Amino acid sequence: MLCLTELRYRLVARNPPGREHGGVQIVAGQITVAELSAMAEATFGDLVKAVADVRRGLLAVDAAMHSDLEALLLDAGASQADLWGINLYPAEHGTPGFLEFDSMINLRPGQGNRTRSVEDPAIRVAITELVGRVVVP
Amino acid sequence: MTLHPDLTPGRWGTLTLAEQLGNAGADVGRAIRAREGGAELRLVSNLNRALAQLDLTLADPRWAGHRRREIARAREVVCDLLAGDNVYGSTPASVEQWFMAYAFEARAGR
Repeated sequence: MLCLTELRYRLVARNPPGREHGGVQIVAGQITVAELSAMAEATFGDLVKAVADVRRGLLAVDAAMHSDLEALLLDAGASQADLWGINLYPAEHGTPGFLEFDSMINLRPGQGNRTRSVEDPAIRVAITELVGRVVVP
Repeated sequence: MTLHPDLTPGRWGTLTLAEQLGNAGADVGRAIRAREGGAELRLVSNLNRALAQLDLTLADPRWAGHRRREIARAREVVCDLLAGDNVYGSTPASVEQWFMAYAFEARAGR
């Protein structure tokens, strides 16, 4: 298993010019709203895709698809049952619109989750708290 | 920017049809909810992303023939519902359901 620092180094090292500080990564510590805004502007315009590992308290961000982040966290030792896809809208930080529970990776009928949302309120709370700890103004 | 720079035709072409339509459908669903919530800017950005992914899907040479015709019709229905006069009389639920079938197939066994 790769340590997170090494994993992040490898991923950032292959980013194209202009994206040296963005790209698929597991957030080491915290990330600012300004950093998320830069990621959004360089990619989708208004949102950053993220996957939360609710058991280990990790957040992976900035990929084209949630499944890229799911794979990254699985490679780093996560269990799939702990991974949930979300979208972050940095321009709406501080409002309910900042965090959106919506991802194809959340479709897990075998785990009782039959929509792209996160149906278990306790898991939504855990994700919200995780995002609140990791994303700072 | 509408689509992530990593979502190139080459990358998109590595996905199955279910993965392509499931992902495009996710943005269609977000656009529907944005419209329901009166979030006009988010509606436009999600619709643009959905259409960009549907266009990549349409351009995928693997789907030439009847599959491409159905994908094109799906794109037309999405535009009709979210940016047109809804002459087809679609409902948000019916459109979401069509895409969700592919999303479930893409995630089968998870």
